[in-house]
Amino acid sequence: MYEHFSGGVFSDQLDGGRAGAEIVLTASGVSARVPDGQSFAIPYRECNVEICGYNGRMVFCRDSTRTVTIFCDDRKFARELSTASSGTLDAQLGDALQRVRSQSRRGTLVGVVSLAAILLFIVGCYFGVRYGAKGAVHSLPISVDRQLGKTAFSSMDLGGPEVKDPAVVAAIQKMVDQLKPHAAIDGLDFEIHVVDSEELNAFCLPGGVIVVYTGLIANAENPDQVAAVIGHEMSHATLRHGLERTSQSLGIWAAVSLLIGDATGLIAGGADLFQVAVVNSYSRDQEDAADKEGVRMLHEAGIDPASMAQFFKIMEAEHGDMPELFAWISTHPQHADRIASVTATVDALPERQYTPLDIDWQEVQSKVKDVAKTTKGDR
Amino acid sequence: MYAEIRDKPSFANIHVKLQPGDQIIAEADAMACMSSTIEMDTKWSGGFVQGILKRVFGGESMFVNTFSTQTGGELVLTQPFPGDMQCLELNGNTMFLQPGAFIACEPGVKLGLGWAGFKMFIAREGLFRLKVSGIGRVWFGAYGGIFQKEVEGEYVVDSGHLVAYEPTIGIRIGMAGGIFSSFFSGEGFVTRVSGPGRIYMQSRSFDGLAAWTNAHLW
Amino acid sequence: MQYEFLSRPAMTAAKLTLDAGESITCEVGAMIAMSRGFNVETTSRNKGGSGGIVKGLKRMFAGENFFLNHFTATSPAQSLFIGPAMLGDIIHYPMTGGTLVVQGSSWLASTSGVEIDATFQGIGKALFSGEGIFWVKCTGRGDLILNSFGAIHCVEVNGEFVIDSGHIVAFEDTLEFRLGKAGKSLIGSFLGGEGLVCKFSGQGKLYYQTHNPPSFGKLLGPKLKPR
Repeated sequence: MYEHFSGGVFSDQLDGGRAGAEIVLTASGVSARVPDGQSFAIPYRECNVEICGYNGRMVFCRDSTRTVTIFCDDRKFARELSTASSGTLDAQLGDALQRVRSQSRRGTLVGVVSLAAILLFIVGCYFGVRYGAKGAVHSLPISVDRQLGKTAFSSMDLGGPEVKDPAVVAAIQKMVDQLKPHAAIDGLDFEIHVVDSEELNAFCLPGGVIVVYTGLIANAENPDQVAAVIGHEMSHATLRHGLERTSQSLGIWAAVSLLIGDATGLIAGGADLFQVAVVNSYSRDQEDAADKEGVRMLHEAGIDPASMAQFFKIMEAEHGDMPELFAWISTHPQHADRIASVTATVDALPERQYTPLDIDWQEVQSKVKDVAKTTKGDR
Repeated sequence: MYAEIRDKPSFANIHVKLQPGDQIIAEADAMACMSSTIEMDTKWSGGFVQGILKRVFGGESMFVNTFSTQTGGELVLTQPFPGDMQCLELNGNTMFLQPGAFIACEPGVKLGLGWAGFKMFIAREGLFRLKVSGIGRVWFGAYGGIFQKEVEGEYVVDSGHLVAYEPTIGIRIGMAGGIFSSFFSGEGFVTRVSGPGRIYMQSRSFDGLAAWTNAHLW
Repeated sequence: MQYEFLSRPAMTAAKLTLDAGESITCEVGAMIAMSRGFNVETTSRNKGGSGGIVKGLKRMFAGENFFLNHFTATSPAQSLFIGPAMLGDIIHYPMTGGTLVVQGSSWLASTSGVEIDATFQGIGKALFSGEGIFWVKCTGRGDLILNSFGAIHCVEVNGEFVIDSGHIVAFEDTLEFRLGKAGKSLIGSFLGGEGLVCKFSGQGKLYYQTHNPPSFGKLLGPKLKPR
């Protein structure tokens, strides 16, 4: 007639102070029987009821002297207890349930607020780091840039054989030598590599490793235009954009590991992140800054900065003919705006006489064509 | 069956003397050495599915070994890490154990795997917990020393340091202090336990060792 | 030579007191502290000249170092503190002409009358016992100091005894051992986690440690950063 529940008892009379028990709700009270035969009972009128336990649903019945506690976490127990005690314990049960509910509500609130706070903190760190990183980076010595650039270069797949033809290399070297004295910072040794590839691209790694693809040379009308591109790329190195970029992404995961504690998996991914950040994804702001700085260098070196805008126009026009990745453009989007912005910068410059570069461009371009033919022949 | 925990608290191990008819059930791999007169029988821990679940989530192995003897013999049971062990005498009651803490028990004890909830996961106690119930002795251990407390009211335990606790213990996750001190005190989240009931805590945490070692690896 | 063990059983260090002319050979890196009256010689040779490169290499395979340190006291009552790298216990074993086979990394120090030689365990046994191909065979007369990971206990084997191979510290070579299955069936052995165990038979002392480094390493390893 009476339902049996499985639960436990706390009592000093038991060995170890506790035991599992079979609980029965009799007409007069809660009764519990432990495995070795001992019995405990708490009459309803002496019962103090509480609800807690590991799942927040355990019902504890304590006697008035608090020496015996009978507990059960069966789902139906609370209801059965209410019925069996003919409502005398309802007030206590009600209060206990209320307390549990409000506690769990408070718990959920705290949980949500903490989660929101943590997310806010992470987002705040991200932005803080992005802007803070910029300042921190410029206090690092230039040797750091050089190391980064060399490491990136040694692990890169250039996409073609290096061109050693003295005429070609000398031409590029001349451009670099003329621009170098006007660089924003000292201490950078620019190392030149010309790579045979149809790619219309050139880039400069931190620390001054410059790579120029023959596709660029073949498509430029005159050496001034190539010099303009080189000036832009050198600016990325002299303005230390690569370092800014990596420190930003590194800074973010440094913040993340501060919170999570262990970012071992991220270290492995960080190596890839590093290369991407350095070569491909200078931000819009950085591109803009490189444009302006490139124009300034060209101007001070005596090379006509208008060639930069001219080259952009060539790129825009030839854009459609390029079957492969329009390398330079794809990493440098929004060319229409850029042409306008560069032109405006050039117009704002004071008047000055410019001297075209003294390079036999025809010779250079024909050498480049020869190299391309031989390479094609080898393939 | 005679069983004694020796070399506490750093290298605790159980020295067992079995008589014919005695049996002790232990985690696979717990046996360090034994007399040749002891027989070892391997079984799935509570059935195939339970066994797998216990391995993946409970940090225990899929199998348990039952040791018995025809003529009497001795056996030494140990745990993979240095630390302390405790013996619990169950009298029909239940105890929750941290994953990986279980070492051995008498045949009258049942082992089950339970879902611990995300709360416990945040408290670095694992998503699952081991439930031991029935009648008989249970031996469990941890990395570090083990000390127990009878809790009445509220108590605070560092996350990851709760080895075993009774089901009557209420558990809430809280911050160590205010938001600032929580993160910078190195404590972060703590577990607030409320009684009545008994808890067992460990004085070292394995994650703590791993973190310290990692910090010194570069 | 006198010896005393401090901070047992987990962080044991051995305090050795030597008289003028006495010497002790220790594992490289074992020295914690010593008084000024010691002559230290690092060599791959055993004290007394025997040994050399081959023996040094054999020692390396056994898990010991290629080099050994010989400490010779030049005045009376010099003290030397030694200890192993990992936490654990240290014991003393008196060598009286018999042979003691010691597990690779458990040899810590021995006096000059004790000859140490890494011995080949046999490929078959080695592959399965997971212990490494070489053990260190100690013969002669003198004092032998051994270390362990865990507490050390001694069993007087008389008949047969089964032990998980990672727990062996040392045994007298009057004991024979075979690799065997722990449980009744082969499957039980692999799945039961015990794998293959060493079954000792005969009469003699067997020293075992309560914990084994491979199990601890297997737990800690995955939590560590990749190098």
